Amino acid sequence: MATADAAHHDEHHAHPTGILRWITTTNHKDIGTLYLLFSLTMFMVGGLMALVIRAELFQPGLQVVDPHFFNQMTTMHALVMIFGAVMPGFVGFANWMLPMMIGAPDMALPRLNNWSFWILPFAFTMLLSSLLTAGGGPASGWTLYAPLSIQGGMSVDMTIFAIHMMGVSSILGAINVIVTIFNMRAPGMTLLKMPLFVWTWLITAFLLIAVMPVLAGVVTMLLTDRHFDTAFFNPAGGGDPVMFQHIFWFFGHPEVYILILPAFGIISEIIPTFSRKPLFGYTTMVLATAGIAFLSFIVWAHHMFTVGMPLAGELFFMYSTMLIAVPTGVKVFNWVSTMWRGSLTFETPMLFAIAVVFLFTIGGFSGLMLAITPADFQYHDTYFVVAHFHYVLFSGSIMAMMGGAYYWLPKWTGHMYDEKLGKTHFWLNTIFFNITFFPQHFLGLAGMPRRIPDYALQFTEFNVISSIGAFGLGLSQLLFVYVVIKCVRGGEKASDEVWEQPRGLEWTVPSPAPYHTFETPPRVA
Amino acid sequence: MAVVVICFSVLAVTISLSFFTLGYWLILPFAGLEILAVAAAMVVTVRGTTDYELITVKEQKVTITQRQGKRTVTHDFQRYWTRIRRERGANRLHPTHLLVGSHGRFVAIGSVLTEEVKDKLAQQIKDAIRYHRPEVHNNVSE
Repeated sequence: MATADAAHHDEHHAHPTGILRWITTTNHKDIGTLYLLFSLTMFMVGGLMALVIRAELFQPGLQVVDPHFFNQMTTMHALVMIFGAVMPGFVGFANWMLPMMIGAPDMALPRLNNWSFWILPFAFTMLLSSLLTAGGGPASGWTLYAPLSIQGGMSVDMTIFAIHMMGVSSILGAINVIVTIFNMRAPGMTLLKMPLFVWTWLITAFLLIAVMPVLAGVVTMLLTDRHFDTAFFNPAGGGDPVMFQHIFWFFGHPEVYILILPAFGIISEIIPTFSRKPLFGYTTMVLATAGIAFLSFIVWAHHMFTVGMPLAGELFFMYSTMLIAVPTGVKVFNWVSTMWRGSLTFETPMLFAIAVVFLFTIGGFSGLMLAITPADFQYHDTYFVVAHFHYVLFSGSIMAMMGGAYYWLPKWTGHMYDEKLGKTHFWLNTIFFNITFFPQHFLGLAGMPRRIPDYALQFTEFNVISSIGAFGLGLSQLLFVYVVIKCVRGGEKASDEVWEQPRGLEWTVPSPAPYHTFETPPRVA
Repeated sequence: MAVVVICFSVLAVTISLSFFTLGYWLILPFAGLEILAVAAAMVVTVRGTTDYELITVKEQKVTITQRQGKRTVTHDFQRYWTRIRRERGANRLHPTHLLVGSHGRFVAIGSVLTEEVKDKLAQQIKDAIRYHRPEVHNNVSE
């Protein structure tokens, strides 16, 4: 008896060409590419806004922009980087890699995947075009604190609408990730055999689903306060503006982990490959990720120690925040232990991964300093906070994505990237990053407030250094774009494995990965 | 899967109800919509995972069993007369249909496969049928 089992696949095999291919595509690799390109574009846009900020802060006094536009730039820079660069970037990695890592032919809901992406360009067109409205763009900071945001112009409404669209996109993406991981793993791929990148994304998707309604709700209440005479947050009508901060940060703190957990997943893939050892403490890594996710729900008020709360509340949020150092420490220990006595080589992805471990730990330590309530009264709303979250978000999330891009580019394009240029990009990026943000610790400790276009003369030197670093950092990203374009256009042919005996199903398919992979599911031992 | 949806729902409802009790009720509808979306996505995907098409080639018979959702349909054809056909599809999403059958009765299979995989499958079925086909006595002398 002979049997042929026609396995089911999603209906995405028609392969249009030209612009229609990209608009109508339901292929996870195409959509991953779209997300990554979008993320890179937004990274450049947000970066330009950062340069406006740093140009103004190059010297004390007002030279380049007026204070209101400066506030618009700080607000938009954050919104664009968080919702436009980092989140879509990780979704791009998820789209490209998750199906290949779990041996699935595609994401579980390919059409939903297409919609998730195509909502984003419209959302960001709306957000960015708010800069052109009368009164300019939103200027209340990315946190949109009430009652300041209640008083803003039409741009606040456009921002709220854009945030809703981004939220829908994120939720659809998260749902797709969850159903793909639960339903489409290859035979034998049990949950505890999944690559760590898949685990971190699963937990990230849970976080997204849990907190996105909170964001949607809080910005909607802001909208009704603005236009429908409600008074959720408007003290003039009996509302409570402090409650806005509580609700916002109930979303905002898990959001911080949404921005970092996939980065942990990426470097957990890179470090074992270039250490030529399996990841140390796989199970503890999974548990630590879940632990961080759980703790993210009970620490939100550490963002608002100075706003005022009962002593018991301050103590609770201080200790719970410090507790996060435990699972994070487990992770750092495991990465270092993976490298310990490994046969290390230092290709560009590994350089980025090591830098992430080192620099993220600096960001983690400054986070611990901020967690200490009495100390936070001194640090709050200073440049120390700006330095802290850039050490976490830039040298954590963004540099992990750069490392991930170098790591998987040969699999995506079929060509090796230019290693020499890659390493040059790494060193320029890392050196300029530290020149930009390390002095900001000193500025903050000396008392320079954040979100100001002008400052006292005593802060000049560190600001000059920081601005020079920022322009260097910005320019070094052009090299990254060049390396990526060069790799896409040609280069040394990449082998299927690309690196020396890497682990994972993605390395069993040819380079570049064919348009359709794992149409017959692999068996995982 | 029900456990996953229940976990999500409990988490989302707990969070949104907590804010609801404080008077911030507008989070609840968004959480409700989201729970519906998660449940719908799970149902759609789980339903799809049990669908299959099984082609069985026996001594005298080719059997095609198609399961979609809870419905299972079986088609039997005489092996000797079974033919494989390709027909033009209705639109660009389905450029061709792969049909198996005999005596004017054909069944479309592999409708969700790519064109290349359909080609491979057609060849596999042809080989499977031909391999066991008994030799036909040649009664025409040369």
